[in-house]
Amino acid sequence: MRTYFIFERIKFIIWVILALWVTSCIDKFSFTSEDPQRFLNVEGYITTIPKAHQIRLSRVEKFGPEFIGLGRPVNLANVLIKDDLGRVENLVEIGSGYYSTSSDFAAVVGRSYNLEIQLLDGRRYISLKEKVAPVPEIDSVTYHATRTVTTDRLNDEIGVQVMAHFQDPPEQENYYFWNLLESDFVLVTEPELYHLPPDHPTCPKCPAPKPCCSRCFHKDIPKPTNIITLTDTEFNGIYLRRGIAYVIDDGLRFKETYRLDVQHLSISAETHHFLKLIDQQLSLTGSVFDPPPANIRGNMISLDNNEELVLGQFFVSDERFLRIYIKRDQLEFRQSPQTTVPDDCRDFLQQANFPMPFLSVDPPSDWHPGN
Amino acid sequence: MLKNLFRYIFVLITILTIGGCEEAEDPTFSILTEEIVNVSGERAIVLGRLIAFENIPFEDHGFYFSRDENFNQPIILNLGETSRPGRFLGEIDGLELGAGYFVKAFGIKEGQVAFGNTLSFSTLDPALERFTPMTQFPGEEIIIFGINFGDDTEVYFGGQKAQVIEVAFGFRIRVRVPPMTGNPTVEIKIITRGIELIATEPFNYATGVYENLGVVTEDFVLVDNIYFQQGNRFFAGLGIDLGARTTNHIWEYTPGQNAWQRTAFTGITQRKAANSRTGFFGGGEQMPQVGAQILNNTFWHFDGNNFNSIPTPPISIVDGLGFMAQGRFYIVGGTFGIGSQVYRYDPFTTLWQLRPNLPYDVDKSMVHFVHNDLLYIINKDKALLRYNLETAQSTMISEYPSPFIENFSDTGGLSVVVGDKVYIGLYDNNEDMWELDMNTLIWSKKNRFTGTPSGRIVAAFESEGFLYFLRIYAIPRRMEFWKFDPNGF
Repeated sequence: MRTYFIFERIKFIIWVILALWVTSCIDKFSFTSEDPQRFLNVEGYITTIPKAHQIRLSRVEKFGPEFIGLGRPVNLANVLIKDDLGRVENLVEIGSGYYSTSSDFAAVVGRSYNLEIQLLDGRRYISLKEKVAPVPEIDSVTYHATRTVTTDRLNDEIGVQVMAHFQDPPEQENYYFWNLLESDFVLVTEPELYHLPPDHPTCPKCPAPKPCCSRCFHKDIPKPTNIITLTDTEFNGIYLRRGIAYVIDDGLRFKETYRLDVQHLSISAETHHFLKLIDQQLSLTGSVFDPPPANIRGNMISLDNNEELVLGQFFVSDERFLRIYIKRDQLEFRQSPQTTVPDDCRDFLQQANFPMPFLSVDPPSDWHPGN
Repeated sequence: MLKNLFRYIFVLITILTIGGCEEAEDPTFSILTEEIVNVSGERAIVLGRLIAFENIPFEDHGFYFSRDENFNQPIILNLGETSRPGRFLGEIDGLELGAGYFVKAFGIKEGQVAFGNTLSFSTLDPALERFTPMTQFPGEEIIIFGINFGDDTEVYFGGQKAQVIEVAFGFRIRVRVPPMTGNPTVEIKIITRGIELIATEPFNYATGVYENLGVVTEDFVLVDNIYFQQGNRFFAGLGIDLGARTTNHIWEYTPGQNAWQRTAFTGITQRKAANSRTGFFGGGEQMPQVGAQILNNTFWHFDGNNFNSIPTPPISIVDGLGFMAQGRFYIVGGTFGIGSQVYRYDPFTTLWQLRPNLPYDVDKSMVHFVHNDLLYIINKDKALLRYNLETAQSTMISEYPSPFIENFSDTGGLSVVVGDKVYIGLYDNNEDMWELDMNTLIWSKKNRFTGTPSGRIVAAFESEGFLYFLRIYAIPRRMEFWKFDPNGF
């Protein structure tokens, strides 16, 4: 009986000490969930090619299932690009939130640049210095069709891989960025297969071949929109054969000729890091192999409040413009079957019953696909 | 035994309990002078960083700037207290231009100052690049562009201090032009932080003196007329007057005379005719008809003594452009038929020849002139277009600087070529006059017309560097004859 009481006493004391032990080191952590602020977002870059370079200023909005913000533009700001010699380019607002340099403005290799912004309310922001490194010349560009196995066992993904061949300079660290621009392609349709609409009053769905037109020119944002960057850390100084663009075959793009426009750009190490992180975050699929979400910091800083978060990265590049005509008969294989559009190609964009421009049957003035 | 066991357990757990909590340690930190973000003439922006694993209270932090590496007599930029690790930015103004500086970040914790590494930079020298416009009226503004201007910048026009309205971002100075003291061409000088800069190009005050010659007779009022000049002899006539009465006379004037004299021209009424301004003219309409349009296809040439008829061109032309180039008479466009068609008359072969069409329609309401055998036209969008008559290539090369008001002040006007300068302006209901340098394509303002602005130019001439022009007014109905000295002041 006495032994029982002793054990009970020991158990009681152990519980008391454990309770004291567990609670003694816990600090209260206060947490309040804040609504996201409408941060300033800066998008844009300048290159060594003389043209009107654009910077876009907007306010970040909450993105989610409840409300997707409008990304409101920031108007009436003073936007300046300054170089390390003190030269200043004053950008002019050409559209809501879009600011443009003069049409002959170009960055110079070797110079450093800052973007400085003064908002209408007086708040000021500046980017960290961005130095223009020379970009190596591209010797040649080739392309070939690629087939990628997908989760759909019956349909592989078909696309066109564009390769650049160039010498990486051994004497310097190089960071590359290939930016895919809006491109053009020949849209081939089948107007002879046109049928009347189902709600036609006299002959619904009746064949009504159209005499014209089967060949138009269409603008296209190359898909998928990957961010393609590269560092020469692991292969400095060697001759490179590198994929600089990939365009998926959606059954329409490669029915004849696709003209892909690409900027071959040099970037700084910081910009490479920024773009790499952005690409990683964009390619998250929700699987366990995804990289963790990152807090991506750009190079814009508030001059009035060190703790204010500003989004975006202003960067400066040496640029070579690349234009590649991808021809159907040069591809080993294509998407099969290809997409059939049984209508006049000029009406291609009208299919959504929304007022849209008609496509042109005339090629762009600088369309020179050669043989 | 159990009692001892209880004691051991109690002691052990007590030791563990006491030792389980971390002892508070003095937190460690580092201060870094990270980057010179931007340097201009008198301003520098520097980035520092406070590296720590937790919040540390600092009474002050910021940067030390100094001309020497030992930081004797430093300029201290205090950013105040902080406790949060991370980067901080310092902006300093009022540095010396073109001087070397050292900078290091600091933080003060419990009265102890901790410094970061030292970086160095040099402020930039100022430079004056250009100013615009290069010609301006007193009291109006010009903008001077350059680099690294200080806030204390002073601007002088030929020794006369001007009012600086704004020095924006160190590269742009807005300044008000002081009154002209004598010479219309002066040097622009800038003094910023004690450094003197002089513009490579001189500044020009707007010049130009207008004089109403008052030598026009009452019945000499012209609309839709022609005019031309041969040497110092000015001719104007045909068309209709403001009362819609036909005028089938041509008048002549020589500078110095007291009146315009009627010539012996014997042709019939021709309104809206094309004229070369050198003595060739023709086409247009015969009568100011309401309804049916009666065309007049006769063409004339004044050889200095007589008006001689020349062959009729293959087309009818009304309100068309006329001009001389390469010794040939061209007629172009107009409001009848094809507005871009070009024909030329060769006085040696007396033949009309079809030439390539212009890429746009033109008519007589557009200012046009010929310089070095190239045709120049200002369209209603203010674009100055250069057209090569041989290659048929058209290029936009500049823009007329004054605003147009559609259907009010975008027609009429004058253009007079004097060497490599062209005087353009006095559009309908407008008083602006410009000088265009054909070598540089720079437009320079001339003094505004001092007469009534709501008139229309009907003829313009040049003699010994002076411009002469006829201008008509509806209310009261009259025509005035003016002389303009472009360089007078």
